[in-house]
This record gives sequence, structure tokens and C-alpha cells, in this order.
Amino acid sequence: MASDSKSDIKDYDLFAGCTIQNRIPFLEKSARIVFEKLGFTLHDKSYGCCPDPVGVMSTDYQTWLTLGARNLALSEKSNHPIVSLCNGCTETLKAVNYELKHKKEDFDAVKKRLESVGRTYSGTTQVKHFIELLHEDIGLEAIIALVIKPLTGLKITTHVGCHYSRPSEMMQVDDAMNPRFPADILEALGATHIDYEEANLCCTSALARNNEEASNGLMRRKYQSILDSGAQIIAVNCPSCYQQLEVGQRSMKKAFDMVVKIPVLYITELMALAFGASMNDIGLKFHQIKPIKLLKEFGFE
Amino acid sequence: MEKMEKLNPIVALHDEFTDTELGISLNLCYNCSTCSTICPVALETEGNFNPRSIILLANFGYEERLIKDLKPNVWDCTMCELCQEACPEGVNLHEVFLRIKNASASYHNIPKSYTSETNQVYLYGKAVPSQPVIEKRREQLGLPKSPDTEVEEIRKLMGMTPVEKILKEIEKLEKQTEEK
Ligand code: SF4
Ligand code: SF4
Repeated sequence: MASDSKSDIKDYDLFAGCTIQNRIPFLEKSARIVFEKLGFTLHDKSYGCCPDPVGVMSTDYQTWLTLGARNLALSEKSNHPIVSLCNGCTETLKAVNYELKHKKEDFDAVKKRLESVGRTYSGTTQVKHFIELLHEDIGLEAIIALVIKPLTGLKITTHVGCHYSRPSEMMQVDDAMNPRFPADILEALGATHIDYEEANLCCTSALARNNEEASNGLMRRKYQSILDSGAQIIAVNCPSCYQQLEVGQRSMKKAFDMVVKIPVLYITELMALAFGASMNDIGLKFHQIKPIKLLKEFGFE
Repeated sequence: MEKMEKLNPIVALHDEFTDTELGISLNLCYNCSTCSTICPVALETEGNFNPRSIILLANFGYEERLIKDLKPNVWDCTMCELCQEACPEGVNLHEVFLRIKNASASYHNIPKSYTSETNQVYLYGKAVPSQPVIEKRREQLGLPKSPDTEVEEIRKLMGMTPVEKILKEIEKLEKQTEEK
């Protein structure tokens, strides 16, 4: 299988991100299974918060730059590229590299701060979202080769999330306004990918922190569009979107008496299942909206 | 940046919106409204919040209104970055909004969840710190222990940026309100 891969690098530093690590770790489990099957070794590092491009960056840009560069410095030392499991972490790590490359004054200030605690940052660490690594480096062929339980018949839609591909000058991945890689991967697994009108609408996780009413209103549009599409599962690739799209279903009931009950699954969970892992192996029982009954109907155990 | 801290944030922001690369980008705005047309929050709030008006106010020296009165409220932006991609003039809306938010934060005009998250990073090095229940779940799943981080080092680094002062001031203000 390894010979099908497009890139020789098999050692990556894993940036799981603190939401996955310390809140919804079952997502990490599926990712580890997937990358192990693909012949990768993932290394753990003593990273701090990425830090979050919504909360921390909006509070203080300099802190965001400095702590982001500290994480990049850790991998600069190990000389591995980073694979990130989260849109937000990916944005921070890519954007910090981008900003420090283009802003000399900030680069000097950050470098000095890091040197005072014994770290070296020069901006050489490569960062990839796991979807990017799967689609661009590993390639669909190598993924297809590992499928032993295809997701045939399952109608799955995607919510890719904003920070995966935007701002495009920093993220440099996929089609920024119409990302398609996650759908390609689902199709490689044998699933039927379902499109819907509001596919590009934000999960509104940032907005919910300041304006719940507007956030609910937008989520209602999103869910309605998904319901109309007939999709049975919403596939995601970001832990913030994951949480927001699960919790939001309860908010819809409360705010509008609207019933939405569609399981939200991580792309890596769907991959792990297709690669032969059991539902128990990847902790699917920990989901708020249980996908177990549906998946059993399609022959998964 | 360390120097700028001492300047009045309104004046500092005005300077950033005037003679810098960002100021030049801001000046390119010709009010076409493409950003507001694509903005989901503008749609949902019927234009009550809209990126074009923020760019307009930033361009014409209304920094004080933007950061002190929050009219329009920059924190209603959901950071989807659609406006950034769609603007035909390449106005750097992303960075303009970021500057306004940071300046608002220094006036303590920032949603509580933002500063409490940043405070978690200050205290534990992570926005979501490790917790015993989840560690147990990790074990059940056969995952390694969630890797530790060097909290002291992170705190030291945060002490070199304006954030430490902002967090302390907000903590003090919160205590005062509690006492009342
Ligand atoms: S899209 Fe760009 S040029 Fe048009 S109003 Fe918005 S910021 Fe100005
Ligand atoms: S980034 Fe903010 S202002 Fe721009 S389109 Fe999205 S929500 Fe609207």
C-alpha cells in the first residue's frame, strides 16, 4: 500500500488540539487508526494551545503569534511536518508562519521572546490539515486500497468549515470558496456524497459566543437545508464544527421546536470504519447523537 | 508593539488605519457592498451587522465608536472569512476586524468567553485543559495520556505581550462587580 503513496514522508508530529485531546478524544482515536493503517508514525509533542484563532487571537494578536510560533518551534526541533486534526489549529499554525514571513517587525519581536525561553523559530515547519495530507500527499488511490467495508448506500453530506480553507492566501488548500476534498474522500470510501444549498454556511460557533439569536437563526437555515437534502450523516473535519453541529440540534428544539436528529461524524471515523475498525474501537458510543443504529443497518458492527 | 501599549488604543488604532499597509488596503474600499452581500450575519440580522459599515467607519476615523460603543458590534462577526475572499479590491477585512477586536479588548469590551478562554491558556497552557474524566476515557480508548505542556514557559511568554495586563484588569473589574 505504501508504494501507492505520493510522498515519502511518513513521520509527522500530531497536533490533535486541546478540544479533541481533552474533550472529545474519540476523534483522535479514529485519526490514529487511519494514519497507522496508512503506514504513518505520529509523534506526540508538548504543544500548548495552538492558540485558538477566534478566542486568543481576538484578545491579543501578539500572544497568538508568540504561542503559535512556540508550537512551530517544537516541531522545527524534531524536524517533522505537523499534521493537524482541527481547522482552527491548522489556521493558527499556517497563519502564524505566513504572518511572520511577511511582517519583519513581528518576526523579530517573536523570535526574541522565544529566544529568551530557549526556543528557536525560523519558520520552516510545514503544517497540513489532515484532509490535505490525505488528499494531496497520500492520495485517493491509497485510501481506496485500504477500504474493506465500503460505505455503500450511506448518504453523507459534508460541512467543511470556514477555517479549513480561508483566508486562502494563508491556508493554500483546496478550492477556498468551494472545498471539495472531504467529499472526494467520502466517495473514495464508497459513500454517496450529498450536496446541499447551505454547504458553505458557517457553523456559527464564533457568533454563538456573542449573539445566540443570530447564531440560532443561521443554524436553522443550515439544518433545514441538510434535512431537505436527505443526508443521513453530516461529516466534519473540525472539532469546533463537530461540537457546534451536535449541540445546535438541541438548540433548534429549544428555540424553534424544530426536530433535527442527524449524527455528526468525523471524516476519520468514517475512514476507520471503512478500513475495518469496529464502532467500539473508535468509541462511537460517546457521540451525543448516536450513529450506531443507522450504521448497524448498513452492516457495521 | 510593546511601545504601542502605552499609547491610547484609539489613537494607536487610528495610526494603524492610516499610514500603514493595512491603511492603504482600507483605502481601496469603494463601498461596493460585496462583503455585506456575502456575509451570513448581515443576512440574518437584516444588515444590522454588516462588514461594509465597519470598513467605512474605520476608513473615516470612527475608531472610538467601533471599539468603545461597539456600533456596529464587531464581535457579531462569525469569522467565516467569506468577505475577505470576495472583496474585489482585496481590502484586508480580516486584519481590520482583528485590530478593532484587540483594541476593544484593551477597553474590556470583549465577550466573557474570549477572555476566559485566554485565561485558561494563561493558567494551564491550553484552552481546554486535561481533566480526570477525559483522561479516563482516553485510557478506555487505548489512547496515550494527553501530552503535558510547559505552562510556566507559556505564562512567561504571555507576560511579554499586552495580554497579561488585559487579563488582570478584567479580573479586577469582575471582582469589583461581584462585590457590588
Ligand atoms: S467588498 Fe471590499 S470594496 Fe466592497 S464594500 Fe466591502 S470592503 Fe469595500
Ligand atoms: S468574516 Fe465576519 S464580516 Fe466577513 S462575511 Fe464572515 S461573518 Fe461577515
